[in-house]
Formats: sequence, C-alpha cells, structure tokens
Amino acid sequence: MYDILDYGRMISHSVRFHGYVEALRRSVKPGSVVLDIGTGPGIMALFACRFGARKVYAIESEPVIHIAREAAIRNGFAAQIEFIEGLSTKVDLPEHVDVIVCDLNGALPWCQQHLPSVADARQRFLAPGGVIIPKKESVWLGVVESPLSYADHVQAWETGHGFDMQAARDLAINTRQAVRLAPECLLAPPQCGVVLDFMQVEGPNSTAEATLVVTRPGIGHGLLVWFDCMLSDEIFFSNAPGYNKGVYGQTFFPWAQPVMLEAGDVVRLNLRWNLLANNYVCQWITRVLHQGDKTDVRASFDQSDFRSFPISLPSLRKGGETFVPRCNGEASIDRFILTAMNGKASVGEIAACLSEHFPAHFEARSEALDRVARISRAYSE
Amino acid sequence: MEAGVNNLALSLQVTPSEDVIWRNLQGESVLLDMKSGVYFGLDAVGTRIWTLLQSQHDLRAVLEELLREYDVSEEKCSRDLIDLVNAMAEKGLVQTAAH
Repeated sequence: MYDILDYGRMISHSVRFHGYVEALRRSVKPGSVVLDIGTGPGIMALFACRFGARKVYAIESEPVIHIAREAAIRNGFAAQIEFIEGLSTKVDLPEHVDVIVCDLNGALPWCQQHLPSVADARQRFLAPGGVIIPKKESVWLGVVESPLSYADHVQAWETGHGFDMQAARDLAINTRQAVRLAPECLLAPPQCGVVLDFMQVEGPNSTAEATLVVTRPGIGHGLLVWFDCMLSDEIFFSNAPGYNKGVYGQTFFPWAQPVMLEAGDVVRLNLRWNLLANNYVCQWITRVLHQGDKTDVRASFDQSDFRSFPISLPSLRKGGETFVPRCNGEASIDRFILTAMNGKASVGEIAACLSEHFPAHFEARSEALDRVARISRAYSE
Repeated sequence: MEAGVNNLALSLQVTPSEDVIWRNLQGESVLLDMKSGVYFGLDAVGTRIWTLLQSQHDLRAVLEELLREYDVSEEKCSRDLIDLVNAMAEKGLVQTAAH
C-alpha cells in the first residue's frame, strides 16, 4: 500500500509523528507489553522498546515488515520485538497488552480494516486499564467555496472539446479528492459530525451528520471533511483547514452542481460509510434549505463513490448470485499450474511443462515463469 | 406497517431502501445493498420502475406512468410490476407499506 518514501513522509511530519511518540512515551511503563498494529518500518515498536517495554508485538501485513525486522536487529531490540506478518484480526497473542498503538488512517478514519482492527484488538488483547493510541478521532464537516477544487472534477468534462462528456462528469462529481484548503474557503462554521472513540468503537460503519448555517454568502462547491486526532488526553493534532502541518489534509466531496448560498441558508449533510469486503463505500447526501425553510429546498444531492468508477456490466453479471460460471482458457492454465504444484516440481519445471502444454500462450519462457511464480506466491506453502 | 410480500397489491406504498445506492449503466442499472454488499441488476424496464419509485411511492401511480410509456396491457404490466416489487421487497431493496 505504501512505499518507503510514503513511510518517510509520515515520519517526517513532525506534528503527527512527535505526537505519536510523546503519547507512546507517556503510556509505556517499564515492563509494559505493547501491540503495534501496522508497524510499517517499525519505528513505533523501536520507540516502545526505548521507553521500557518488556515486549512488543509488531504486526504488519505488508513486506515492509522485513525492513522493521532488520531495524530491530540493528538497534539491539530484536529480542523484545516479536514481528508477526499478517492481519491483526487473524493473529493470536499469548498475553494481554497494556498499550495498543496503531496509525491506520487514510485521509479519513474509514480506511480499509482500520476500525474493525482496532475494535478486534481492543476486545481480544487489551488488558484492563490499558490504553489505545490514538484515543479518539473527531470527524468535521464543512461547506466550502473552492472553484479550483471543483474545476479538478468537472472542467475537463464540461469543456469536452465540443463533445458530450457527461458520462465522465457523472463519475467525476462522485469522486472525492485530498485537498489542503484555507479556512477562508468555509462558508459556514463547521460541525463535528461523529466522534470515533477507539475504546468503544465496534463495527466498521459510521454516519456523520451536520446541519450548517451559512454565514458567508458565496458559491458552495461541496463538502469538506477532515478529522482531529486525540492521541491521548493531552496530545492532539488537527487536519483542519489552515493546519497545513498535518499529514492528512482534508477531503473534498464535490456537489453535483455548484449552489449559490446566502447567509442564513441551511445545509444538511449526511455522510455514510459502509465497509464492503475490504473497501468502504461512501455516500454523501446534501439538502440546501433556503433560509432554513424545509419547504424551500434549493438543492438536493445524493452522491456516492459507488458511482465514481467505470463498471463493466458483463463483468458484474459474472459475479451475480444466479450466474452459472464456466471456466475459460485462462482458468485452464491456472488449473494446470495448481495441479502441478504437488510439492515435487520446482517453479522452473512447472513453467517448462506449461510452455509445452500451452505453446500459443507463452512465446517466451519468462512469460510462463512469471505466470507460475505469481500462482506460487499466492498459493504455495 | 411492513406488508407481507405475498399480499403486495397496487394499493401499497413502495419506498426504496435508504441502504441501497444505485447507478445507471447504459439504460440498465446496478443496485448495491450497503448492508449486505450484494449487487443487483435491473434491465431497462426495471430501471425505469426503480427511477419512478425514487419520487413516486404509490404503486398504482407508477403503473399508470408505465402504461403511458409502454405498449403493454394493464394486466401484464401490473403483474410484472408487482412481481418485481415483490422480488425487491424480498431482497430488502424496497420497503412496502399500506396506505
């Protein structure tokens, strides 16, 4: 998911990084047991050792865990840190932990398995009186005037070079983007839409709601969402507009059309997040009431990132509950490889047989080798 | 009141579930039930019915609109409409209620 430069940037963001380190320093006592979920290159696990942890369980599902292992050895903490490759929800620990540290956010807290991972770890591993870092995150909703952000979504498709590109525009206005806007873009005082308290969060799904009263007339282009993070009772960082030292910035959710807003207009916002498989589907619903009059709805939008990507109907049908699938030629190749993976033949030997059986598919031996290697990585023990 | 699926009749009010989001694809549509994560497909006529249900919850009014738009007998149209709404209610895609 992240490359080494991404990890470096996270560590270089001093507000966020020093906040995590300080929260960890205050939470780890001599002899503490610490769980670091999504350890990445292992920096938090190393700090936990430096602060006196007796044992650190560092879990990471990505190959960057090998960098973390090497770092532990080079810093003399290999004996204290137990690295576990995989997802925390699939792991068992031999003991309870005093501190859970996890930084699994994307630009917003709803990022893949973040919330289920925290809830699961708290329920299964956290000792009574233990702490979770971060402690809670508050998600804020605002309405913004930002013609430049909006242009990113629509300009190319509205110009269209004389062609009707409405189909592309429909996708673009259901796509959110990371931005860093100034507080002056806000047309109404923002409101906290939901607080995610990690000592209590259970399921992955959330709803954030706000009713904003416009104080500055202007053209509303969409919704701006960010989160404030309480790492502990005393340590806090924000991604609000103007806090440009924050690592995450804000997320802009465009409206289907710009809306002229007057002071006193009321904007009702409802943001829903549902985790399906490993990805969230987000829905943002907007109602603009002229001067707060429920009978005078000036704009009504129901948008979702479910409408933000091209879908192939034939491909979708193949996943339908009533579809009766039949293997195609590609499946025959994979089946051949899987059958040959019998614990006796090497990847190279299987690739040689594969080329012989499917000569039309594999002109070069390297192509067969790549195919077998891919299957081997996915399915061999 | 939640109506029994088998007793569904044209006098019912039919409301698309808030948990369903949908998109139009070349005249057909794909519905996603956010609670279950299951996708459902609707053909062109089903899509028209789903679109009408967004703003018109009275099933008889939907039928009347369909009769205006399509060359079909009232008997067949009402039967197909009720069948589709029954199927959608069974999957939780719509809620039905008596007037």
